[in-house]
Amino acid sequence: MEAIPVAIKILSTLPALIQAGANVYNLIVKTKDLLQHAHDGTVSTQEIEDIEAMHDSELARFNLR
Amino acid sequence: MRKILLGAVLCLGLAGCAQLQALRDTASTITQGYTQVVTPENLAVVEAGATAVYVALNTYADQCDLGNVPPIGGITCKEVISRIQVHTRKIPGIIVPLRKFVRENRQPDALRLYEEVKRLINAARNEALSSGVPLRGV
Repeated sequence: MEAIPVAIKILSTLPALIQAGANVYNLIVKTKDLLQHAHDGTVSTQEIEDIEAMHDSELARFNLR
Repeated sequence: MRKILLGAVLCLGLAGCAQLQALRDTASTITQGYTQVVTPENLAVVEAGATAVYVALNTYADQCDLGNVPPIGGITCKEVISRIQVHTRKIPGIIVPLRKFVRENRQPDALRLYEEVKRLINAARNEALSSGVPLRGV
């Protein structure tokens, strides 16, 4: 009987998990591009600004708890 | 049961950890190659790696808020978060002037703050790991 509340709890965490997974995926894509462009010497200002914005946003979210 | 749930939650939420580890290794290699000069590119690589840590910490904190993280050794997840924040709350005050120094190519100042930011990120990560936050691979 304990399984039902646990299953409900797992299901209730799914939206947060999907969001976290999407954030990690975006980060992987951006970092891969960044590393490739750093290697090629073609990193754009926009690319760096995107990384900075993402860094500041995630850091602020954690620090403001 | 709650421990199993937390493990499942964080593993699913951080499904990209193995790929992140590979990126982190590559980033580390690149960064080590430029330790005498801080460029916008290698600072961005460090910031991207730090962001992966923050995403993981936010996932942990979200689950803490939902009551899914049991105390470990009598220490609550709220206390763990406070301990990590001792380090992370110092980062914004350093990263802003660091970016300015890097853009202006003021290398001695940039290098000093760059090392300080890396130290704080590592301190936050180590505090999280020693408190049982599942960050391995990030």
